[in-house]
Amino acid sequence: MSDPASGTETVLERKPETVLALEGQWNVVVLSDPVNLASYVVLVFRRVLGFDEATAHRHMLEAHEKGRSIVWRGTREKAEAYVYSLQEWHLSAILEKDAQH
Amino acid sequence: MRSIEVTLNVGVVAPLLDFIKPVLARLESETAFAADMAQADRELENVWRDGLIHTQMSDCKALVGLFGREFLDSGKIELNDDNADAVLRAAAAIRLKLRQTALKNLADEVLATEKVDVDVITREERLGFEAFLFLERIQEVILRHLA
Repeated sequence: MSDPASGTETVLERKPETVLALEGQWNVVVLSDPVNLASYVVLVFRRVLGFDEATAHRHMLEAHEKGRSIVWRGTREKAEAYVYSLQEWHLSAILEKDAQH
Repeated sequence: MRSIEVTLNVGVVAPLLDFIKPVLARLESETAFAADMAQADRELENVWRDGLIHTQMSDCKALVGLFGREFLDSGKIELNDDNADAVLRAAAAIRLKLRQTALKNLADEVLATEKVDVDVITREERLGFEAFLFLERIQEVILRHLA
């Protein structure tokens, strides 16, 4: 918008937050499965997601006891890549829109 | 490169390898489990599935490669840094498929405790269960020594 008195023009900036709000956050969720070994699941979490041993173990236990564990949250593109990699290791991983973000 | 040599009983393992042949054939055209394609459109879904199957086939090839001429002659297989990941994944894929096919009538608790009454299950279930456990043992060796 322009101000004739001062001869200046104000340009409204698009804030990055607006884009993020539209895109939303996505969860990578690993579901419990009765076949894969606990130690195998821990290894996959370490390899694919870069978790340390304790974090990987905690998420493995959460999936086992509660049926699911959110192992990553962020942009859709990156979440998809994680889901794909986890599925390559035959973990039951799904992508889910984060309702809270 | 780290390497482990495992000596197996050919007479025990060979029937299990025969038993999983149809499972390996299925894994050439379908994923080990009904993979969620991340709410993708049809085109991406096909690319996604083809990619998973491609990795699966490559992994299964590595596992089958362990049981070639040397294995039949000596009972020995070699697990090393080069084949460990592929064999781990192939074993997981085959075990998941066995769960959906030969072992579909067995309860999760039964499989988890490994307490299957072989007198009350069918021959297919028995062979499926033995193959399921055999592949689990291979995974455990890799997880303990290589991964």
